[in-house]
Amino acid sequence: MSYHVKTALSDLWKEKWINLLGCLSMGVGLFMAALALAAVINSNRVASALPERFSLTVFLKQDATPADIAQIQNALRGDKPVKSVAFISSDKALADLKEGLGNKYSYLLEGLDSNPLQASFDVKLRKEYVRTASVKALAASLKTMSGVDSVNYGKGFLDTIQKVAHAVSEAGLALFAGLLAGAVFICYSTIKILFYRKSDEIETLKLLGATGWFVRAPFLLEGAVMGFFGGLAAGAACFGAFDVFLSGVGGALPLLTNLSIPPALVAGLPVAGMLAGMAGALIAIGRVRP
Amino acid sequence: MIKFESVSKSYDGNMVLNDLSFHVERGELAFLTGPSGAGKTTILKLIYHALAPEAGNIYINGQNTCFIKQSDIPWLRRSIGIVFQDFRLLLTKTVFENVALALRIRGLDEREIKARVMETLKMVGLRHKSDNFPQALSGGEQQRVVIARAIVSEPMLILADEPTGNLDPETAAGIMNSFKEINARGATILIATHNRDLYHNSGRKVFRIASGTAAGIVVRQEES
Repeated sequence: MSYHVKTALSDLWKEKWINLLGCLSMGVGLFMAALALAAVINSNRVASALPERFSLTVFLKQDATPADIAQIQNALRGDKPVKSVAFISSDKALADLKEGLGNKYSYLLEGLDSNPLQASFDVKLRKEYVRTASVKALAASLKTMSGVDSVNYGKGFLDTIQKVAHAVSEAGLALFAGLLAGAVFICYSTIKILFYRKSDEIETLKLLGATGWFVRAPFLLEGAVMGFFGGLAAGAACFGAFDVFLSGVGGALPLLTNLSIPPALVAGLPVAGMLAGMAGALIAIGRVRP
Repeated sequence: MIKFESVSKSYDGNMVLNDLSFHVERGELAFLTGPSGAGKTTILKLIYHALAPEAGNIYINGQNTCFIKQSDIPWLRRSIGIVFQDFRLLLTKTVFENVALALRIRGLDEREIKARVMETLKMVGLRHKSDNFPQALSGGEQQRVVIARAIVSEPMLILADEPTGNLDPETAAGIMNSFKEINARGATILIATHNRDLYHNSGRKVFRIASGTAAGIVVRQEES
């Protein structure tokens, strides 16, 4: 085992309480950072899952000719953002309505002399095109076509979902960065204390001809070990917290059962902790003057 | 090997060394003496670049160390073995580990480190105490560990700051014999001491530093 590794492990053991405290504090910071990142990932997932269910309805005028209908259908099928097009005739619309009302409310439709419902196209869009601007543009171009009466899409809903997802992403990423910086600062403070405690020994090393890196190496390793175990603890806490959260609240709000913590994020925590630990140690030691 | 040219150094405006010049030849064992506070330790610190002079030039093995780059200072120090007045032993490491440190810094492999450290400890009579911690050793034994650490890398120059301070005359004589042995192997040695018994009638060069003034150098010639 190299001298630096041996020195780092021996120092970690000698100062076990302060190192444990540093490790746990980093764990808490990384845990919260991971939750912030999980919130970003989950909000993006929810926001990106919704467009798959998003549809646009093109209502046709009562006097639309078969030629108009065919032209509209061809135009829609040739449009890149359009994933699928389904024609719903006015008869089918009425049949669907009847089925929806069932026997209990079928009397509502009694007395109708003619079918008041319009024929329509149910248009599903490709996920990447479900953006307010592109949907708006498509709706506007459809409205100009002969035979089209109106175009309906959940404008307000779409806007809100995208705004919320965007806000959660920005806040989550800012929180993640802040908490990661917090983890770096915790390691910085711990290593700074250890560095001061060993200042006599470091002075001796320098006088014996040690280079800056020879002095720094054990501290960097200590920071890396502290961050690695802090990250492991944070990963375990993430899984535990999600389990408790979902079993407790998930039952009440089924929507939340779709939430998850990505395994890659948890696996990345020890590595992120290690890098944060090394960064903190490097800043704490700074430039070692001979 | 060591050349001081009109070197001056002060602390907080108090002049400690003023226009000091002296020269130690390669392979010499020389003494630096003078009263406490005369600047003996300062001279040694100037040699291993723990301090920089305000004026003058210092040459070590022909290199002017006043213009040395920060990044080259470790390499300068690796060419010097230092016996510190306050020992500077690492109390949490064994005798072996303390001596081995000088070689680990130089990047030697473990097998060579073990062989050289044990050989050096044998030379200073401490092989049997290699696993002891410094605090379990007497003052004389600690001093010998420091000497072992200074010579284990076989440096071309050894500086010793009051190496026999607080030691009984018998132990001091033993340590002095170690220095003579090392010197006989070719190392240049400069010993700062105010212990007159060490250099009196030794036949070695003695630089007497008068406090705060230019050095009044007295060179004693070897007595036959």
